[in-house]
Amino acid sequence: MWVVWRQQRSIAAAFFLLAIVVSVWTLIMGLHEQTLWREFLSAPCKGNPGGLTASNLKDCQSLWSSVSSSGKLNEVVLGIGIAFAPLFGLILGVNAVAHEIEQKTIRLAWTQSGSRVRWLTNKYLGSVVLLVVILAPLCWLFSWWVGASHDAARITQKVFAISGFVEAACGIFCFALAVVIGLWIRRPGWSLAVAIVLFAAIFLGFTTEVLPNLGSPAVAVMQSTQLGKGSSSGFYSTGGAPANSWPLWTGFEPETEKTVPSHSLMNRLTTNMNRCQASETPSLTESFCAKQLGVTRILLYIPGNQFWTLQFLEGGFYLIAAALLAALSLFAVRKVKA
Amino acid sequence: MIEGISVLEAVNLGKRYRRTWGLQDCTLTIPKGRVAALVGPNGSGKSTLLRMAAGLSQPSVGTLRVLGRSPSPGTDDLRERVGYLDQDRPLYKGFRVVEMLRFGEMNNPTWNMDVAKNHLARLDIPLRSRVSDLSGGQQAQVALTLCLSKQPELLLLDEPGAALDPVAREDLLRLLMRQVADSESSVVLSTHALSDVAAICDYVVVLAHTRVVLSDDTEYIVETHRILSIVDDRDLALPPGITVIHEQHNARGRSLLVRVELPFNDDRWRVDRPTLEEIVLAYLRAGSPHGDGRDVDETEDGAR
Repeated sequence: MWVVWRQQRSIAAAFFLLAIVVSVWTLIMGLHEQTLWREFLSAPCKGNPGGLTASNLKDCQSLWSSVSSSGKLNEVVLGIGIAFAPLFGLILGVNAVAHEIEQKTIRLAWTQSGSRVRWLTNKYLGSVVLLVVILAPLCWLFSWWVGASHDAARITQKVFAISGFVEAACGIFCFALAVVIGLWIRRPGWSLAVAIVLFAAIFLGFTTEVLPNLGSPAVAVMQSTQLGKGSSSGFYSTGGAPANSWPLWTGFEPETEKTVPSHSLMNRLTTNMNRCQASETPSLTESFCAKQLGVTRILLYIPGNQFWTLQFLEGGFYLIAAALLAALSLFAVRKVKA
Repeated sequence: MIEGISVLEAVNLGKRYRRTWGLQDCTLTIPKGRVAALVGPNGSGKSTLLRMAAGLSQPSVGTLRVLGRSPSPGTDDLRERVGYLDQDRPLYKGFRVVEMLRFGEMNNPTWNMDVAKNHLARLDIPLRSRVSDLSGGQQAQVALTLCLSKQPELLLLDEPGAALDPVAREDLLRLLMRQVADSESSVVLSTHALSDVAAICDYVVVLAHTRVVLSDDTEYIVETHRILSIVDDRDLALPPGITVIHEQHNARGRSLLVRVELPFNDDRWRVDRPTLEEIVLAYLRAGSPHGDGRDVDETEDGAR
C-alpha cells in the first residue's frame, strides 16, 4: 500500500491542492449566493423578477441583475464540479497501470514475490482510499453549494451529479475504467484519451437517457404564468410543479385523466393539438384547441423526494460498474504480457 | 553444489511474436549452482528465454521448468525464489534509492536490508539520491541490488554489465561469483561480452537465429573443440567423428574449428586448443552446429 501511495502521491497532492482552491471558491460563491437571494427574497418583488413593477423597480432591478450575473460564475463551479472527480480517477488509473507498462517498471513489480493480482488489488485499495479521502469532503461541499444556489433544483440533470455522492462514485468508476483501458492499450496518453471519451459517452448517456426513466414521474397541470415563486436557487419551478422537483417534459392529456399518461398518448394528443391550431389562418390559440379537444397541458416531473433514490441508483450504477471492471482487470492482469 | 538438479529446463520451448519466432526448438538444461551465460547476437532469443523463465511471458510451445516449477503469473512461491534483472533496468525514477530498497523489502519476505545497504555503500551510491539523478551505471547497480538483496535461489540477469564501466563491470563479476559461492544460488545471465563468459561462467548456452546451437559446461566445451589448420592441401578429408563448426580459407590454407568427440591424432593437421571465446564466435558465425545458418528475419520485437 505504501508503494501505491508513493506512486500516486504527486497526483493526489495536485488534486488535493486543486480541491482546496475549488473549495474556497465554492464556499465564497455559495455564501455570496445565499446573501444575494436572502436580499432578493426580502425585497418588495419577493424574489420574483416577473413581479417587477414601477414601484419596486428601483429596489429589485439591481438585485435581480446581481442574481442573474452570479449565475455565470456558478456555471464555472458547476463545470469544475462535474469534471473534477472523473479526471482525478482517470489520471490515477492511467498512472497506476498504463504508465507502469510504458516505463517497464511493471517488469520490476511483477518479478517481486507478490502476485500480479495482489499488486493490482493494492493499486485499487490505495487509489480508492485516496479518491474517497479527497472527494468525500468535496462532495459534501458541492452538495452544500447546490443547496445554497440551486436548492429548488438539486434533483435536475444539471446539478444532480454533484449534489450527492454520485461525484465520488464517478471518480471510482473512472479509476477502474482507466485501469482496464490501460491494461489493454498500454500507453498512458492514448489510454487517457480513450477513457475520457468513453466516460463522457457513458455519463451523458446515463444522465440524459437512463436517469429520467429511473424516477417515478408525477403530473402537474401547467400554470398559465409558466413561472412559480422565486427561491434561494435562482431557478424556478416551472408550470406548477412543486419546488425542488425535476421538470421532465410537457404535453397534453385528457382533462378527465389524473394519472401519468403514456408517451404514445401524449404524442398523439400533441399531434392533434398542432393539427387543430394549424387548421385555420391565423392559427388558433392553444387554449381554444385544448377546450375543443378536451385536453389540458400538463407537466411531467420527478418529485424532489426521489432525490436520494436516484442518487443511490446512479451512484450504485457507477460503483457496480467499477466493481465489474475491477474483476475484469484482476482476471486480465494474469494474461497481460510484461 | 548439488549435481543432477536443474534450475532451468526447457524442452522444445518456443515463443512466437505475431509472425516471427523469438525463440524456437529450445531444449536445454542448466544445472544448479552454476553461473550460466546465454550468448548470442541481438534477436537471438536470450531475453525471450529469460522473460519466460521470470514468468513475465508465457511460452507459445514446449515446456519450461524453473527450479522444478512452471513459471507463470500464478506460481507465487517461485517468484520468491527467483530474482530477475531486466535489460532495461526499470526503476521508479521518482523514488529515492532508499525508497527503492523499501519497495524491495515490502515486496519480498526474504529481503536482506544489510546486503542492500552494504552493496550500495561499497559503490558510493547515496541512499537519499533520487533514482533519476543517478548515472546509468549507478541505476544498473541499484537494480542489481534489488535482485541480490532478495536473496533468490536463481538469479536471471539480462545483460547485467551492459551499462557499466570497466571497473563497475569487474566489481559486478566479482559480486556474482561471491553470491554464488556464499549462497549456493545459481545465475543465468545473458551477455555480449565473451570475456565475461570466460571469466566467471561455468556453463554456456549459445543462441543463434532464435535457436540453441550449443549448451554445455565451459570446460567440456573447451575440451571437445579444436582448431585444425593445414597448409596447401585443401582437399584433405577429415577423419570420421568430427563436426566442422566453422571453416576459414586464406592464402596460407584452411583453418577449421571442429567439435571432436574422439581423441584426434592426425599428423597432417596442426591442432590447436581454442579459447572459449573463439568457440562461441565460431558457433555464432556458423549460426547452427551444422553450419547451415539460415537467413532469418531478426527484427527485434519490442516485447521480446
